[in-house]
Amino acid sequence: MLKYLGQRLLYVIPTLLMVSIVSFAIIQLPPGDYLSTYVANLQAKGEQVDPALLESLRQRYGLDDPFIVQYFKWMSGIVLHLDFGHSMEWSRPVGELIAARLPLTIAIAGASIAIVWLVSLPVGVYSAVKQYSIGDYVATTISFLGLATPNFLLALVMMWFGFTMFGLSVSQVNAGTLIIAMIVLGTAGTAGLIRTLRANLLDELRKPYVVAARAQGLKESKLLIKYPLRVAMNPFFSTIGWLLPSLVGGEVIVSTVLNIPTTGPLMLDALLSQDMYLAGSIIMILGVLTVIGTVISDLALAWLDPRVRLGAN
Amino acid sequence: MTINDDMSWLANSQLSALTRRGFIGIGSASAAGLLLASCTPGDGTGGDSTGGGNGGGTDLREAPDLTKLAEAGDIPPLAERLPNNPLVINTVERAGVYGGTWHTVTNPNDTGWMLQRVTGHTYLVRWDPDFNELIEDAAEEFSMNDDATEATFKLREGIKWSDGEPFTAADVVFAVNDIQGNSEITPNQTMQRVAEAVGDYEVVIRLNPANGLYLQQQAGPGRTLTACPKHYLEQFHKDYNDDVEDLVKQEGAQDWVELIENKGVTEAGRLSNPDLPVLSPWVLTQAAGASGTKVVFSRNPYFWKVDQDGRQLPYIDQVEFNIVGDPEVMVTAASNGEVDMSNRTFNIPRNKPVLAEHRESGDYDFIDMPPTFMNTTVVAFNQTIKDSKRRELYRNKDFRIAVSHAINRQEIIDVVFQRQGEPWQAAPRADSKFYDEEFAKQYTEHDVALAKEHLAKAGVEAGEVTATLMVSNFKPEWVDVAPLLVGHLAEIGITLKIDAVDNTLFNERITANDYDLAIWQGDGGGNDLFQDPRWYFPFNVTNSQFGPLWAEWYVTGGAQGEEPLEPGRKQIELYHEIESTGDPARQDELMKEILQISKEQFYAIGIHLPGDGYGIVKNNFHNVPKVMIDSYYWSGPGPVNPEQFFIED
Repeated sequence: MLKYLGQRLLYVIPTLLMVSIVSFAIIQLPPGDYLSTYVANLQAKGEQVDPALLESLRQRYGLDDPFIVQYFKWMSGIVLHLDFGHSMEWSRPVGELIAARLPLTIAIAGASIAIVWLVSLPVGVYSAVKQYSIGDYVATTISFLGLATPNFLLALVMMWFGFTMFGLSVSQVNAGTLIIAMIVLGTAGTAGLIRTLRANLLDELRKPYVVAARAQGLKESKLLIKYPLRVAMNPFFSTIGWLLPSLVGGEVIVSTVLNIPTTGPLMLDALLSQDMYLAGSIIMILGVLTVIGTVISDLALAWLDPRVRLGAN
Repeated sequence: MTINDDMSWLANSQLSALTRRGFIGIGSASAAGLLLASCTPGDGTGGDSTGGGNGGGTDLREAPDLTKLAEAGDIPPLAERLPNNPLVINTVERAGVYGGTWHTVTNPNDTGWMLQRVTGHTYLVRWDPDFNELIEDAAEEFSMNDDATEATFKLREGIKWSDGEPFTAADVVFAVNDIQGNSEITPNQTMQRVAEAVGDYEVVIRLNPANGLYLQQQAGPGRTLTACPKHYLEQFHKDYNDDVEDLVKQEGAQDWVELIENKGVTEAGRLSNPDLPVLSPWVLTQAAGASGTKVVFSRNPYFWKVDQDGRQLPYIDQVEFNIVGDPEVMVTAASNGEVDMSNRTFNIPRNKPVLAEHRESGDYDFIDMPPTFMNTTVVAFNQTIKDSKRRELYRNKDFRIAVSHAINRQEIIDVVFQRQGEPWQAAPRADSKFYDEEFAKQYTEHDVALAKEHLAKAGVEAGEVTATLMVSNFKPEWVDVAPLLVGHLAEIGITLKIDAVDNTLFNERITANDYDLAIWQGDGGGNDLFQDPRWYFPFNVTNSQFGPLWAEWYVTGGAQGEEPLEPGRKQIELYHEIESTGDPARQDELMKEILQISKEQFYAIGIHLPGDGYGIVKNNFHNVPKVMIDSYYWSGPGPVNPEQFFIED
């Protein structure tokens, strides 16, 4: 187990380094930079920017420096004093911008994950145990619908419904839009997890050890919870890896559609306007969290499932 | 309590306003109205105020909240807050009532317009509502000397910043000499300006090189001569505060330049610092901050403009911009009646049907917004292209005339532009004082035979020419226009290939002079063409797409690029002459000469004059004109005075 742990942690370091380089490089890939995008946006509206102002901004932001210089400036700031740089669009420190959006982002993601787990666990188990019953068909239909409907569409439809029927205000955050966000995000996650849990549990339920246990007269509920369910729970743990970044990332499209100030729309805007330190930092933070999350879920799986532990040896 | 005092003050101020030469400039159409209004202030408002006390009527002289503050002694009484001679703003429909919040929306990466157009449109001089001439604002009188090297502004006495400190010549001098003239804050010092105060209320600004358009430029967005309160900003300025480094450390800025920029020298600074004193009708009270959901501006108790009855403006208490990322959400919010007035961001043709459908339920209506664009699509052959054979061909006027006649403009208008607008060259609009019908309409009729004739004159045979049309993805319409152009030119034997590119790449290739022909919109069609004559002579590298190298030559003063041909050089000389004369009439004459040459040169091929844009106004939101120009340099609704908008059910 220790060896397994050490190995996993060792892999983290080069991965993080790569993540930081790639996330910074991605931002630099499209032609132009923040200022050229800014100018182009203004020009499309028939507006002009004073060339003298542009020149001074370019110098100030160091946009003409080579890639490697910009990368090291950014990276050393992060490593040495956790300074993610300055957002050009907002003219504020990146860390401050992200921090301001984190509470709401985590609250929404946390609540929707709670909904997902609370709903999908019992429904998934029921669907598997009572396979081909009416309840199973209903759950299956709903979960297929949930899987097939794009989140943003569901959000738009619910928002339209909310504002035509209940006069929901859409230009600012309010309880209504937050509830819609949780329902939308919950539905999507629930649908997927129900399907996975049902399939895994069905596989297990047919295995000989279940038949043997049942033949020996073990109580059905105890049997189910103690053995097959434990194995079928694996997907719950392996999704922890994606959970961390989604807590922080904020659902980009749903948040944008519902106009909720999470980190999602912040990142989208930053990408569109080529605000490189902001976009790069968010992408990197998400990348780092994915890596950490994956490590945690690896460890959790190993703890839960001896097969993973043994396989490592 | 002080009704009598106030009334006598009112009579004085309006009489003095009437005798001023500057007042004439308020707008010729409204002059008569002002005359009437100011003849009867005692009867009209006086009668109301004696029987008044209804709290929210048009008899109040200032917002009730301010009366309370003044009574409590938190701010001085109205008469002391206003200048002796406040600027009188004529309301569009009628005198308004105080109060309410103006709700509107904006895009997170499009915030500068809040100041430029709505809450901060307060300059030394401003455009009249028709965009024809400059009129007084914070400066009562202004003039330019004959060789355009000295601008003189006489400031209105007694204007106060929003913190109650007086606005004087020292503030303008500080803005010119210590902000614009400081090479650390403004590294580019090619435009040298030196300001000198003559007494407390007069400033002379010396310009080197001469700049005949300087006064016009002061009426446009981004001008800061009225936005630099010396008494506040000097504490962040190295030349005024020896201990500025302490403040830099305290605020966590990199250096003093960044500090002063964040405190109010840049637009971002002005949008993030609520402590910055301003001259405008509303003061920033809630910045977007790190969370970025909303920006709120509240009434400036010291605002120095009054309506025709002498009542202090603005009428509206607060302006609230909700920051909305998704354009569809903006449309939904507007349909839902959540936007009181907006002429920006979501008012694109595509959204009009949806907005029209919800006019009743959302309780709003449209206003017309004629743009100052003169063209939706200008086709420009690159006359400075590297390949010498192509260069020769694209410079052949007959070739360009042939292409122009080959284009079926009506088809493009019908198919792509919802039948809005009419065929038009890259020429001034009909509502501009530079309108020339011949220029606008030359070679616009669709005539394939005539086109072939000109092509033969140019010595081109059918099938001989293949060119690549570069199309930016910026306007989705262009992607629809391009294939139609391909078809039209195929009829006269010219093969066009379409190269649709991202807008940033588009700009890079224009700058690199690496394209055959491109399409872009026709800016500078109204009276903004002094400041943006890009389609009339090689003026701007990325935007004069018929000759980027010529433009580079102009912009760099001959250091780079390529010298334009004789007519282009002549135009550049004429423009220099415009810049070195202070006489607007002479400037108009010179501009007409430039345009005459543009007409003969036929640099680029215009397709069509756009139809009018639109804005939305709620039915309980008053005093917004039914027609409002849409232009960056005019910056609506600023020149129609948002401070006199009001809300009343």
